[in-house]
Amino acid sequence: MPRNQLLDEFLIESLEGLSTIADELSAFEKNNQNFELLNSIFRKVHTLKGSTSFLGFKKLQELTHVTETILDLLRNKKLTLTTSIMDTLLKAFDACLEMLKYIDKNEVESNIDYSLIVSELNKILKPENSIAIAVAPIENEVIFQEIPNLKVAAPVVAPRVVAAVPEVRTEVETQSQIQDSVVRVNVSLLDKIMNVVGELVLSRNQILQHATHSNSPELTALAQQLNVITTELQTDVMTTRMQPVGPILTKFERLVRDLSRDVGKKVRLEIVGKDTELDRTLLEAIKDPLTHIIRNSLDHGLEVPSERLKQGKKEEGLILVKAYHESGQITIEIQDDGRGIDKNKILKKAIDNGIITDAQGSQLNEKQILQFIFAPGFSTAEKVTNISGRGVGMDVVKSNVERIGGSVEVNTKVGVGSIFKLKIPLTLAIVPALVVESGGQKFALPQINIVELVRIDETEISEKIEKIQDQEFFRLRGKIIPIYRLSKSLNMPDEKKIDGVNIVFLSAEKKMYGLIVDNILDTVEIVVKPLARNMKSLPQYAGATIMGDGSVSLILDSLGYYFSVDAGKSNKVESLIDEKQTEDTSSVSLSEYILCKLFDLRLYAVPLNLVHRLEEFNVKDIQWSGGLPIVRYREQAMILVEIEKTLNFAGKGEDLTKKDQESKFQAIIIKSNNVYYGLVIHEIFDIAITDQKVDLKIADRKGFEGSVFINNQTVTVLDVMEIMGLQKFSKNEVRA
Amino acid sequence: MTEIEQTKTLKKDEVEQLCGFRLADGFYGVPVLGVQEVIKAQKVTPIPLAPKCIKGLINLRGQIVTAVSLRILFGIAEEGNLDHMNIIVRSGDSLYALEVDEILDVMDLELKNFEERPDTLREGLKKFIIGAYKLNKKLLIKIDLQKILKLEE
Repeated sequence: MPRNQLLDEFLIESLEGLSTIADELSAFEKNNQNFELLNSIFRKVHTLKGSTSFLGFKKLQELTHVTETILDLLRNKKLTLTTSIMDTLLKAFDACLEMLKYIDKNEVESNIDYSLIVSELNKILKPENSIAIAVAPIENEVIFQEIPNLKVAAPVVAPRVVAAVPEVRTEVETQSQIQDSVVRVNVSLLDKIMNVVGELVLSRNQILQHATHSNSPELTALAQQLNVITTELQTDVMTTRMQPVGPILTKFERLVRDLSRDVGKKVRLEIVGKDTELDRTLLEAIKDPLTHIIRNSLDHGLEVPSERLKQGKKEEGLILVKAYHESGQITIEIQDDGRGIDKNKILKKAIDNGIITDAQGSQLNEKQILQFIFAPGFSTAEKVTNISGRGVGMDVVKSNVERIGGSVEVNTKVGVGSIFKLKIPLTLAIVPALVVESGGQKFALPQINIVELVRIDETEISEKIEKIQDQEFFRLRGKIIPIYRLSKSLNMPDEKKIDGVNIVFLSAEKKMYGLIVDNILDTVEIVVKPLARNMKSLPQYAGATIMGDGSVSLILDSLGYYFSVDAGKSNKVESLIDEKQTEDTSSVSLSEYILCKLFDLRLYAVPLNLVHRLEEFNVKDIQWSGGLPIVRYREQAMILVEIEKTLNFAGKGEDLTKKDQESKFQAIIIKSNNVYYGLVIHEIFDIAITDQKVDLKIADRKGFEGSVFINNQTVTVLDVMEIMGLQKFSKNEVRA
Repeated sequence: MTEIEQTKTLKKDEVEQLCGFRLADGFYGVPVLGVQEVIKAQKVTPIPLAPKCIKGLINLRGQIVTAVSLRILFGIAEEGNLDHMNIIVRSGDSLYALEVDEILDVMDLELKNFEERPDTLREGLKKFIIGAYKLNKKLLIKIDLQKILKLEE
């Protein structure tokens, strides 16, 4: 027998009702004058009780009855809502939910004993015994009205009972009109419609293109009509699938409330942008990640009240959840004003856990280090609580968000707080885009990222485009903006010199950059189709689309492209926290050094900003060119600089010629004027950050910049540029 | 269950159907159930910066298909202007087109003629191969779709 339709309807309705009750209750707790809210809860519980009683779920009925009684008292102001009553009520609703879920699975009531909760609820009623008793008979009456109905009409139960449901509801619900105009639609059907509309949009584009080339006025007219209809259909279907993030975010009120009491913290949850709409599949997908992040912020991020007071913060911690649209994406920020994430702690943990080695760790920048919190099994929590600290979670966050093509970013400052930014793309969406051509290939640029288009005449190119080192810049109304050549950055054939240059200015988060393209072609509506999974490592592309002529074009991801061309240079971060950080650092001017040991086993420091990479080479890979040791590095011949020899250290230097052919050696790679140099060292020791100025007393010696005091030691700072200048060769020789 | 395990669990007297294809002078086969369809060479949009074996993207009736050159992946030299065929396979949510030289028939192959891959195979090729069927005069190499679609050259 197919599953009882009546039961199904009951379950859908009850689960829907219950899911909002907890939120409404939390809201009421905050604003306990809003009795409309309480009424709404009461109505829902009442409906639930009514339905359970004639479906014969005794336990559920008992539970809902007591709950309803309490709510009624609250509603009539005979009882004031205290935290303990609130807790009990929430527990009761949880129990209801549990029971309903069991019923959903097994079609019968579970055997689990819920009498504890019922008795707890009854305890609330006890002080007001008289009222409780007064309420009870009314309840019985209701049941009596309905149960006989059921019994008499046993063989034809279904229609009758269905009829009974609206009856009960109209009695108590005053806002039920809206239900008549709402239809439940299966999500998979919606998905299918969306896909078909996507195909339709593509076909429309193709037809439009044919129509514009045809001589038939009828075809043109029809194509136009098709165009209008399709657009309308498309917008409507899109709207059908959009849901505000509000309901999901408000669910966290409850979560925060419960958790904060479990861990003894005072927490205020603020939600901004509840109306931001998101495609429903994406909405589902971000629910778990958001929960994880909020749990983490609450448990790890925020301090206990006493600690907060000590640090001069407000006793009450703040978790701010913000949802908004930004450059074609939906961004959800979870910000807390807690202790922040200590990157050194993370680095240490990563090394302890064997994820990276010491040497690797010393090469990482802050962003890369913070990425470790997304590694599976990674947790810096000193103790495991039942909320978090097991190291499961953040990796799930990342994988869930990435599965829908989004990204997670962390910005943090120790003592100030952390911001987690979830970026959710519009994978399913149909977006307007600008089609450009470069290197003989068409690319689509989402309109939402485009700031403006600029065309420079041939005669003006040299004066408008300035070059600083390798980077080209354009002065746009006084602002200097970096520009990149699309074909060059994508390794495509260089654009032919035409009569001018087209620059598309794009926004990437809060930055702007220019993109030189060969041609600007057209604007079209495109359907974003994700690239195959293993293409995700190319951040330049947001996906692909099918153009009017049926060919495939890549969609450029403004932000991803920017990061790929700007690698490293953009490590200055944008968000508030990091701005503060840079302010801080600029006021004390911190310098970072790589500490290394030369073959005399003393410590030397090399300014980190000069270091390109740290590498290890095999001694047998050294080739000799006229007395100079050379190794192949990145398709170039790289000169190895033996510091000791160059600086004429007293005989302590280890000669590369005499080293064991099977051994390895380490080198600090310096990049200067596009030529690599390898400073041969004995071993990398550490990275040190200091606010001390270089003491110039020993600077008179060749190759020394001075000394700094690090970790209670005086360390000689090498003047790398001078050392390289002392080499007896010219740059050109190396290149040849 | 990986394809290797699947092959092992089949009984000796059972028959497996492979869609055969030719690459240079070698004969290969992919389980017929993994193949969605076979199409002629299509217009391909290259993906700049993508791995070499990825030829680009194809529009297959409104769906984006990633074209993979098996020649490049297997380390076989490419020949100019040769017309190729595409075997469309699905992996997860993504569609891939395997570019091959020629499509052979769908073949019924008896498992008793199957042998696991010999260790003497060239390293570059070995990881993409499950084993081979002995035919009358030649070998039909069964390829490992999952490994191939990881696209590690």
